[in-house]
Amino acid sequence: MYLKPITNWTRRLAFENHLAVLILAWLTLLHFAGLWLFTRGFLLSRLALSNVTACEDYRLPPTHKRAVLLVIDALRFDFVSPDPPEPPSKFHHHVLTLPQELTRHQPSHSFLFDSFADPPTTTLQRLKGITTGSLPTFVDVSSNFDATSITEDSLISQLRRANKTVGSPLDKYDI
Amino acid sequence: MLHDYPSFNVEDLHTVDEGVIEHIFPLLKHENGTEWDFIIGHFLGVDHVGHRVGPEHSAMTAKLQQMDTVLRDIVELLDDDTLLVVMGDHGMNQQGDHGGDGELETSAALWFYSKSVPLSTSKSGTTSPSLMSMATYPGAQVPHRSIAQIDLVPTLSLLLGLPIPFNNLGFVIPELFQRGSDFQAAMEANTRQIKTYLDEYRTSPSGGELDAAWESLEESYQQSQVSTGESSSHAEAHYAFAREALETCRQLWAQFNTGLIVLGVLVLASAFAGSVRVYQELSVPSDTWEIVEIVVIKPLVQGFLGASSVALLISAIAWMVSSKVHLPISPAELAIFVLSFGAPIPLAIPTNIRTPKIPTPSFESILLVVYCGIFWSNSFVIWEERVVTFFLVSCILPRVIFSLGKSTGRLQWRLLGFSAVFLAAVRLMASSTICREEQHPFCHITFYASSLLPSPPTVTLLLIIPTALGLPTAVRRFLKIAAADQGLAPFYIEIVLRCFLVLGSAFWIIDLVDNSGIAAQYVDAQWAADSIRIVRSTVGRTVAGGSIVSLAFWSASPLNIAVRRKQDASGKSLVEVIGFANTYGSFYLLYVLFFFSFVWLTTQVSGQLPLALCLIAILAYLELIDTLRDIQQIGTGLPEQSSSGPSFSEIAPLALLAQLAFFSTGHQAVISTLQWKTAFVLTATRSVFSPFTVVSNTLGPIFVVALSAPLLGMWLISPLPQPAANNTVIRKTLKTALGFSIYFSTLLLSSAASAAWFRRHLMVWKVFAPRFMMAGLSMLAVDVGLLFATAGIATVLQNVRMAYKGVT
Repeated sequence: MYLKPITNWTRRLAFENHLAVLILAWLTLLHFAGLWLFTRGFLLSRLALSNVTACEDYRLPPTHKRAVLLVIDALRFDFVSPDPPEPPSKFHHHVLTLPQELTRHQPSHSFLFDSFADPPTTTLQRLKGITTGSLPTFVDVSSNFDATSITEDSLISQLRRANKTVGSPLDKYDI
Repeated sequence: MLHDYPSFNVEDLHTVDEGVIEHIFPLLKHENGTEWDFIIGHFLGVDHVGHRVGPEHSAMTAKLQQMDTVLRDIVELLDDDTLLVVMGDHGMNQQGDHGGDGELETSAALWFYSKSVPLSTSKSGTTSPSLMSMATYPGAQVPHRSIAQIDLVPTLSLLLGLPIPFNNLGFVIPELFQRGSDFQAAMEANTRQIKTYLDEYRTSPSGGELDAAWESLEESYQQSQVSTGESSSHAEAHYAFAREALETCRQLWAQFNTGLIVLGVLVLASAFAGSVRVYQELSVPSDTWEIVEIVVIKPLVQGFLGASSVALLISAIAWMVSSKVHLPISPAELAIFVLSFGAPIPLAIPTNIRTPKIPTPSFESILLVVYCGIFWSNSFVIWEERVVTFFLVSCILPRVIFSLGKSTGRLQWRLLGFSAVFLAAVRLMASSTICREEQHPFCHITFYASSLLPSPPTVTLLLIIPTALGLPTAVRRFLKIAAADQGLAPFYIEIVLRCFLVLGSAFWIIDLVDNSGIAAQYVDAQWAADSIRIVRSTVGRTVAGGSIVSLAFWSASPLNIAVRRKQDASGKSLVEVIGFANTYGSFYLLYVLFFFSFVWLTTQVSGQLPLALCLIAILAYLELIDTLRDIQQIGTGLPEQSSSGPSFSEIAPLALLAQLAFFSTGHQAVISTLQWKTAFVLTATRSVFSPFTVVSNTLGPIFVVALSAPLLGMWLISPLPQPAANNTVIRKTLKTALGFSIYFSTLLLSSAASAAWFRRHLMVWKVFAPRFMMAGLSMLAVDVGLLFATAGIATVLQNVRMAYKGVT
């Protein structure tokens, strides 16, 4: 008795407007398929866990009390390398020479590396990598549904937890 | 201690860096040594020079010289306790740009310097060379020590005596731990941290991603745990495990699959071609509905059968091949591609002579092409909401002005009135915005009270209850135009809808009271909070449940018409049907309204006002189009019933209105504008309904407009004679639905292509990819909305057929 309107409804759906339903359902499936394929190739995603490493875990006696971390945006390795490509560019090779000089004179105090930055090599993605040690993805799905912004354990949050004062001339590090 | 400098609008290449320099040196002076433990500074100049003039320019030399001087001064001031790290966040290509995975872009410098404490005390060479990978920079003569940039994180953490951050995948840099047994301890700490992370990730909802690699990862981890001591094989095992973890995760999270991207675009393109073809078929002005069925159905079935057999064959071959060589695309993906790409092909290729010739493109289709163009420029995507408003007004205004001269008297007034209501509603909707980050400082947030205060502005709060009370009156007024507010329509609109709307607004006002904590001043705080939440959830569930129940009742309701018997002057008995002219539209509108009520509930107060305006705009638009048709009819003298149905020019403005509704309800094509608080509409804590209500909040406005679009094909259409009238409605509504869908799939196709094309672009993750996601999600919202529409239309058709049975 109560089901009558509903069964009527589905029957009408099936017989009355069947071509419209068929075509639109068919299109919906095609769109789903296209989006599914595209997204699998395009959207890099991972789940961002909000866990934090406890203070007593995985640590060593410190060698330094403090640190100065200077990010020079887009500082490519060859700009500071002692062995840049041949022939060197007069515009950007052997110009910023301090790192190679100190590495030559104080080999146990100064270390210079060519570091591989995971793509996408965009500043915000990289800063996240440099502070959290994790890989960049576009969609950092939050493991905590309630959170409006994603906070992952990072160098900065560990410094804060250790009651260290972080000074920064730019507020984007105020994570 | 935080100083912000404008970073992306800087014309002068030095301002940003001077700001940093100005603040960093005072900190480094000895007398300020107690003020900090960690300084982080970011010099943007090198990047700016790169983007502006590229690396091969004297400006770059000047910039690097300046950086050299700054570093020398900093080293000068450095004390014994401080470690200096200087690094590039990424590199740059030959043009000075970055964002992608080119060798020059991914190669960044990383320099550690300790002024007096040596970082390495034991002789070099104690670490196995296999742990110290080397790489030759493109064009260089000698290889250099190469690491992963994220290796910085565990290294710096341990050097400062801090724990390694939980999600880290980097591995300690051996050179910096050559002090006694430090390296061994560092490695062990690092390995355990990575293992803890992987274990935790595996227990998360996304843990299945690791399935394929898990056995091997476990084995590598066991390898690192069996051997102990300072042997080099021990270190190698640790290193091998860490790098395997990193590589596994890179494979999972950080690589584009260009093949799949292309296949996805091809499927969308073929679906687009198929739908355009069906649309054209429906545009042929005729009542030969059965022929359409044959012309469309036959290729549809052919395509499906053909594609599925080819898909089966190809995936079987791929499956056999995949056991020998690694394919970038799995057999299942291949099968889905062939099936969905192939199915529309027989339809898309015109085989009969009846193909209509390509019509001259309408103004609206040219606008659509221009609209597609904006996805290829980041600044246009950022300002899309304004572009949409402009397009919408541009679609309407010229037609109105053009027709104004051709009409007289009552028609002219109708034209003026409805276009004024429509344009005013659109304009007011456009004034509601949440402003995306990049729009500052040229955008003023009106959706919230301010950028810092995410509560509705006072004006909105004052207006919302009057709006909720008044909207049903306005809706009924529109139905009254054709006297189609008979039957149960007054009850559904004036009582049921009004209740839902008022409760839907009350929900958010209760939510505000809860957040403000006002109640706690008078009664026990906990009791107040608990009872407020119970009331709030009850209100939410009442509206949600109520709209579903109303839908069921509606499907069994009579049409919005009244039958009156009277006698004409000669004494003949006549039957007058009141509300006859809009039989279809008025009844279907009720169906839309119940969905509207639910979307209203899941929209915050500030979004409800634009939503109300959107409904008014839709109704005004329907009347406006009808008026324009009337004017045209007077000009040509053709009967309306046999026309080919709504033209693309008539459908396009509704699609634009759907986009505007999305923007004006506090959304933008960025993830950060998702309104997470709508997750708690039906329950006070997170529940199975939460994702559903967030989706309804985000895509509801588009869904509602999609659901209303078929009204264009049935508004003010005479229900007689039967069954011809029903067939006309079926054809016209399907045509409208397809036109609407085509509009969105055109946008989707263009935004998907632009996201794929710009996958190496600086702004891909900020602009192009989120816009593609919005396009994909709104396409699905439109698809689902149109499918729901067909269900509603089927009910309307059935009721009309029963009501006019035997009437001629």
